Amino acid sequence: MNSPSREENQDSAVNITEKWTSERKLLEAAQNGDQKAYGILVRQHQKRLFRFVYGILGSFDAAEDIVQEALIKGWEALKKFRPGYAFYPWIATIARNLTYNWIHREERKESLEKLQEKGYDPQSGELGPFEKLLDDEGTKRLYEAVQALPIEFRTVFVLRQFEQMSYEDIASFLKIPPGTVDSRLYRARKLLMEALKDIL
Amino acid sequence: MDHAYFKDKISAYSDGALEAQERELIRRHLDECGECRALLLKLNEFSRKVEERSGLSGDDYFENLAQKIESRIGSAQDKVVDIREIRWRSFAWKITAAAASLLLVATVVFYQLRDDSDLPSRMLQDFDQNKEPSVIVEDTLIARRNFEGGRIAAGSPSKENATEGKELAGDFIDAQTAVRKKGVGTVGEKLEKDARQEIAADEFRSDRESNLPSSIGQSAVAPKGALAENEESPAETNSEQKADLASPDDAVVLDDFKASSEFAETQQNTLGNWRLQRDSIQLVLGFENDTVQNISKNKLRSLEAPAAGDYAYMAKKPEDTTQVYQQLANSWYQIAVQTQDTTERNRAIQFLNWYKVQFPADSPMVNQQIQQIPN
Repeated sequence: MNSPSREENQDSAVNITEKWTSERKLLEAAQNGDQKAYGILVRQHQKRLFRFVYGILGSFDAAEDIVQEALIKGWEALKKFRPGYAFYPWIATIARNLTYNWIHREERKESLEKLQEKGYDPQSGELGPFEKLLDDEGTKRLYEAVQALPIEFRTVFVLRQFEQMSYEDIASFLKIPPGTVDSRLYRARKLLMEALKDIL
Repeated sequence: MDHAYFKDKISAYSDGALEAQERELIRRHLDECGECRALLLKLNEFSRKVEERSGLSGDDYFENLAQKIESRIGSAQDKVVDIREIRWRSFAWKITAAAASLLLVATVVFYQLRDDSDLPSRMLQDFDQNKEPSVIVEDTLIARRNFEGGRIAAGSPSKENATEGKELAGDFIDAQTAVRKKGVGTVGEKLEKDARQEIAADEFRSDRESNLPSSIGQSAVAPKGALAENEESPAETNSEQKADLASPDDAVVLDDFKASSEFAETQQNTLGNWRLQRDSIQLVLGFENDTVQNISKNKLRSLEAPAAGDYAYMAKKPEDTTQVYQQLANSWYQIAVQTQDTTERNRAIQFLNWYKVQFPADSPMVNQQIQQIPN
């Protein structure tokens, strides 16, 4: 494939630049205490955060709590945010850590069965209240299939496909060998392609 | 290796996640195997459709959620405290302090009696809540060292120092060219000394800031003279170096940069120019000195990729930074396509993967680019 031409580069750069410029300004204002600016950032990123947290936990209530918590922690820690970086990877790191803390904490407190009663069901394939966030049958089928994946496959799939994390970062985050990321991801994709072959 | 082995690797290949050697093996297998080629196409198509289908709607729900967050932020900041609350807080504080003391004693005793391998804190500490990407800063440092190493090699009066410069530049091919073209550059002992100081300063700052790298190059690759007067110099530098580092001198910075550009211009091939573009943009992103930025712009304009000069120049305007990053990504891609050097190619892929996270909108394009990088 040829590299993008200069014109193509500049065209796509216009959109990104607008987005980036606007994000930088919002971040700067928010760092100076502007709650409205932070509110706009919240609205820009909360759906993607929610998609990720729900993708891992499969619990609507827990996802709602964690997304709120992450965005509030983000506000409190905003002074530490270094200008020049994009906001999403930073806030997503907070959300990821909260998600894993939640799993560790809950698993220490209660058995898996009790967690499942609370909605943390690693492999139910049922969407529950999450369904109200999906307006398309294909999207619903996709999330049902993702939720039906074994938890270890689903986690790797969500981190890669939704969060675009590199294999190395996934391996380091989940404390598994990079080769395992590779094989789990392939199996997850294979299962999903099979489950969704009529719509994808 | 059998067909099943290759088949299992196609998914990682489609993500550009394999090491060069393995990627080459898969690429060769793909030339021969129709089934694997079909699987690759299927996986690419699948990823694209998942991206299309996975967006959430529920605007009312999310608006409500955003309002809850705003309300919690607002209430934490604007909370009015009445006198009863102050009294209660004072009382509660005393109770809390007493409880905390007891808890502290209990915790110390508890953990002293217990094997700490399963402490909850130990289990969770690995998740660094404030981790920021460091790849770009590392790359900038590498670029800088490559330049300095090349300069030392080019300008060094002795073979010994030239070899050292070459080593400093690591696998950077330009340094080897510089050795061959010894005498082209006008740099000498002074530049060598300057380069050593800069490298030492970079390493010093890099060590200090390794946990929380700043935005690209603002401190990690600040030009010589950029250390604040009250900032410590590297322990190993002598007093003369300290004085030098503490005194900003635009003329010296300018000379250094000119020398770097002249050295790089000895590269007539396209790959060299892409490297120059990459390194110049990275350097420009690290420099805040206007003169240096102008030099970069003009030097870049005279090369085969004139637009790069504009992009690099834009780095000093925060609102245009995105385009600079985009051009930087394109430079890395071009280098990855042309270079024969595995380490450099891997660094390019590492950068492109970092870039995708920073600019998700470009992710599909970058994924395609990564797939096109030869082995």
